[in-house]
Amino acid sequence: MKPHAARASAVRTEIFRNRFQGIVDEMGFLLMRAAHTVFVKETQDFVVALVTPDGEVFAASRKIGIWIAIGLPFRHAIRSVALSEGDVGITNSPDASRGLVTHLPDVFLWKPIYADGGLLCYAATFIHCTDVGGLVPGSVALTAREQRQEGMVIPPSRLIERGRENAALLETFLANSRIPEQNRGDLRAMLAALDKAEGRVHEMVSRYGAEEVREGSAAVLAHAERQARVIFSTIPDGRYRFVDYLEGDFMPGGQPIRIELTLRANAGEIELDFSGTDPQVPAALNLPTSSQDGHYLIVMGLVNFLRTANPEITYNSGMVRPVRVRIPPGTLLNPDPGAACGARQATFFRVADVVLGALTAAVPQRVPAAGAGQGAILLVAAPDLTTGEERVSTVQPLVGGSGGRPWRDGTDGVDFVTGF
Amino acid sequence: MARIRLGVDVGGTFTDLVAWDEETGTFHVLKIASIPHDPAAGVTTAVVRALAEIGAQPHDVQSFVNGTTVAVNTVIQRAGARVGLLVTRGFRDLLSLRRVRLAGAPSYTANTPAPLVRRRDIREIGERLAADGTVLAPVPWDEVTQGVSALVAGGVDALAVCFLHAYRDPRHEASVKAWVRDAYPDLYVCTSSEVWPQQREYERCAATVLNAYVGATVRTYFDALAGGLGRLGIAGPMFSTKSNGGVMSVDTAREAPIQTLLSGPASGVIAAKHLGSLANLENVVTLDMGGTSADVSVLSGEIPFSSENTVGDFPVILPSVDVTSVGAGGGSLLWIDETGILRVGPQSAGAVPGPACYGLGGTAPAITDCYVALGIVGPRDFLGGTFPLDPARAEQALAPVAQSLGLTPTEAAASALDIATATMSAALLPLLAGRGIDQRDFALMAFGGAGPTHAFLLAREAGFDRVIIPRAPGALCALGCILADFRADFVQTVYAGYEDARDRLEEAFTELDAEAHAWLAREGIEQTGRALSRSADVRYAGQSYELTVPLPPGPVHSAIDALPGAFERVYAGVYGYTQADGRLEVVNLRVQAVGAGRKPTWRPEPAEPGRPPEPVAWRSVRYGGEDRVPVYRRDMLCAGHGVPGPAIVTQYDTTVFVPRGFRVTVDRFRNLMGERAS
Repeated sequence: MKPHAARASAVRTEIFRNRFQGIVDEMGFLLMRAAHTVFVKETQDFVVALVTPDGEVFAASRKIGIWIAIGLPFRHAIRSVALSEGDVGITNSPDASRGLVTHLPDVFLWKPIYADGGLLCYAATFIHCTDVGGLVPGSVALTAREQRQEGMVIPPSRLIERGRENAALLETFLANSRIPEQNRGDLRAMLAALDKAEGRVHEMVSRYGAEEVREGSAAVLAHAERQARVIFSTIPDGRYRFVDYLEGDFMPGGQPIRIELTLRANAGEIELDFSGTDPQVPAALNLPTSSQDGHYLIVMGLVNFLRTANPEITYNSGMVRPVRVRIPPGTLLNPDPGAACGARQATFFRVADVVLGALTAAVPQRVPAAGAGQGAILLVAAPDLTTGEERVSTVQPLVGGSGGRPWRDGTDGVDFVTGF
Repeated sequence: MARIRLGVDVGGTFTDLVAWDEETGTFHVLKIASIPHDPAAGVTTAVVRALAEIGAQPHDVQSFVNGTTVAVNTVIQRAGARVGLLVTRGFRDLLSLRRVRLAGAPSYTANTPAPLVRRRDIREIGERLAADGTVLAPVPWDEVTQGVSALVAGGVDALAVCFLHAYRDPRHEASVKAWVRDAYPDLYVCTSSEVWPQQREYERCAATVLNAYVGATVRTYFDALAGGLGRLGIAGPMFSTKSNGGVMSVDTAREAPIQTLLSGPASGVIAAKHLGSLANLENVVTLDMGGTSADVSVLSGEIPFSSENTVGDFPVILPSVDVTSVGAGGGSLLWIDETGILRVGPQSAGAVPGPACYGLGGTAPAITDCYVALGIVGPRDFLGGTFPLDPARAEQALAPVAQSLGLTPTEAAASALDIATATMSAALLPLLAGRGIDQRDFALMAFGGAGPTHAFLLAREAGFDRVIIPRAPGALCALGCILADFRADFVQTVYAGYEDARDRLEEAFTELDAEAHAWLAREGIEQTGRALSRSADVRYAGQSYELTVPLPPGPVHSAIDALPGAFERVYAGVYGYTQADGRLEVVNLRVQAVGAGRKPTWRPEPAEPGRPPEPVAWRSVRYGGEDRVPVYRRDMLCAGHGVPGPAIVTQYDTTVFVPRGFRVTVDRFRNLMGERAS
């Protein structure tokens, strides 16, 4: 590249990175403040992101919300339903979205943003919805044996069509929840955040032109990928194996559940091979990833590793482009359709531990020990004595603290895995 | 005889002073290096020099207003008192648990900040109030007696008391405080209900602890300052600036030191508001660009306040002038990331060693080095040439960065300015849009050491058509000290549905009004100089975050009538929708008391149309390829003069860069008014 072209490109990447970050931060701020359920507004179990037409997250909020946007596989969900300008898509189906959704309470919305007559990108968000129906208040029951017991499933559909609410779908969804009005409030807040993002992207288009914005989104993804490859290439080439178990006390028979990982590092590429992991289980501990490359709940240990090496790393799915994932079908981390998955957070905490274990074999001085594991998620359900309505509130995940680090003690009461 | 009012703002790098002579209406500006280990000595040094320069005597000083960073530095450096804390039983770990989020994650280097109070210095007391203020368990005095005596024996220097629901009823906290005062007259003690009686346990406790933590340092500083000024023979009253942009007597500051925490940036906004009004501009975005950051505030007629600020690792929920950092300052460092991309900040060269061009040992390139290397700021521009800047050192520092980009040092410097500008713009535009503001209706008022240098670049990028450079932009915070009013905030948490609680709301506002008047009376403000403004923190039932909605003055019931309409307007503006079926919940009521201070009167100067003076020099600016840029001296430009860009205007405390495409004229108050050239 000629010096001036190089300068223009390096400067433009940094400019777009900041602009996109400003947009998602604003989305997150709006959603958090306007939301109604405690789990969204206080615990901030939500994600806001900008997504390419190909389904890759090119900007995600990190300061607000939960940091599990890196590697969200949007591609299948957005291809499942054609959206025109003014439409908004919705899904909470793990199977129909091929691992974008990993349990039914995670309700995803996405809105196409058009410019100059073409699709430029999507604004997207998901929240952990406190109740989507099913066996128990909160919709997360370890004892569920199949997904149909865990609440209402919405395959990828239109929640908004040409600016108008799809009332039949919305009211059906709300009628299946124990807290319809709180959910309505949260959905409104999500829609407002998507509208806000659309307006902001349009402002960028009028400033820079659609083509420039499109190139900017590609450039920030490529930048994050380059940064990640630099860091991954510091892991010595080789195969690193680690095995840990998930307590299976709630399962029929009560057997521990094996999670086996072989991490292959090869010149900046990482393969996470979970061959040897136990078959899927009858408890709600399955994690339906569809074995998507760079899947967000498989790569958490790596995302932490990257940001530890470079706190300023460009924060988008480019970070996990070098990460291949191999999970045999029918197993705990890639179950067949219909598997119960409500309590899969216990599983992804352990997956993060297993990734740490494998990294410890490779670069022992750069990763902490495993933490207390799991987040005990406190849920309160009680009738409101004045109105007689049912009240359900997922309050706060309680975590036992992180593992120690080679260079320093761990953290009390919060862990690196999810940051709470 | 001169009648001098002094405003002094003590920053990390410089101590700025503005002296206003009430008799003649003249101003004098002085900037000297701060004395970090003894800031009060820096102030007295500045005062002595200023009085000598204007030929005034100490007894001519009518009043003295000081803005200080002593409190905020104490928190950031963790150099405060050893604080003991009394909490309700079961709440000993309140300060450690915080809001159960790991800031800085995801990263294996993330840490939970250590609380300001050691766990062993926190004692649980088995008292308890219900949420409505009724007593569930009275204060067990044996626990208080034993707890406090153990804390004092253990060596605490200050005591904070934060009981559950004390925002609703202060009786338990007040009785404990009275006992402590009696038993340990020398021990500083403060309670959450007097520091800031607002619901939200962690934030209220954090505020109470911060107040106790910075108290001793702030009191020592003001004692030293009063002593120093007294020895000079200055006997006029002494005031301190506040985070809310107001002033208070130093006695009040000693009692509520937390009120000074965010006073620094607030003063600049106060001055900007005043100068904007003089120029008939209500809509102003301020840009305060100093050494470490660029901070903005949006003024549309009123001073904006925020109650969601942080200092160091801690939240501060007392209302402060709403100032947001949008990016780099003059000291922010350039660096190349591992993939070869040029980055700016957030690391800063700080005051020491400072940018490389200062010649104080800094070798890493900073934004200021870019100005100097590009010729935007000249080597003898700053502080009348008494603070030389070295372009050779600047270029030397830029060379490694430039080399890895395949650029010359000046090309790298130009790229860094582009990035800094775009970063600021990216952070600023959502702030404006979030308030429903179009920047073309606003003027950008720039101050701070680097603000006037960078303002036109930001204006061009962010779409402002107008830029104002006030007369003493490098000492605007000191000017704000002189211009500030008495200002105090009062809050009551009511936490009730709007429809069900009209009586409660009315009662609460009436009480708040009375508190406000009592404060104004204590500060010696006459009835005629008083103004109260009301607001309410409101949300839809079911939400957790409130919007602060201004309510009209006048009878309390009419303010309450106006609440729903006012809320919907504010809500729609911020979020873009309203909930027609939503019930309103009122969480807090607020009253701000304002006692008008005496303002300098500016006499507009007669405009002298005609040609501006000849440039004092011509300079090549290697940014935008300008070979011959005229350099003017600010003090030679008079009302009515106009200069087209590109141009450079040098002055004692900063350098103004006017790029091609803008034109500046001098208004009758000697502001430089920049406009896009048509």
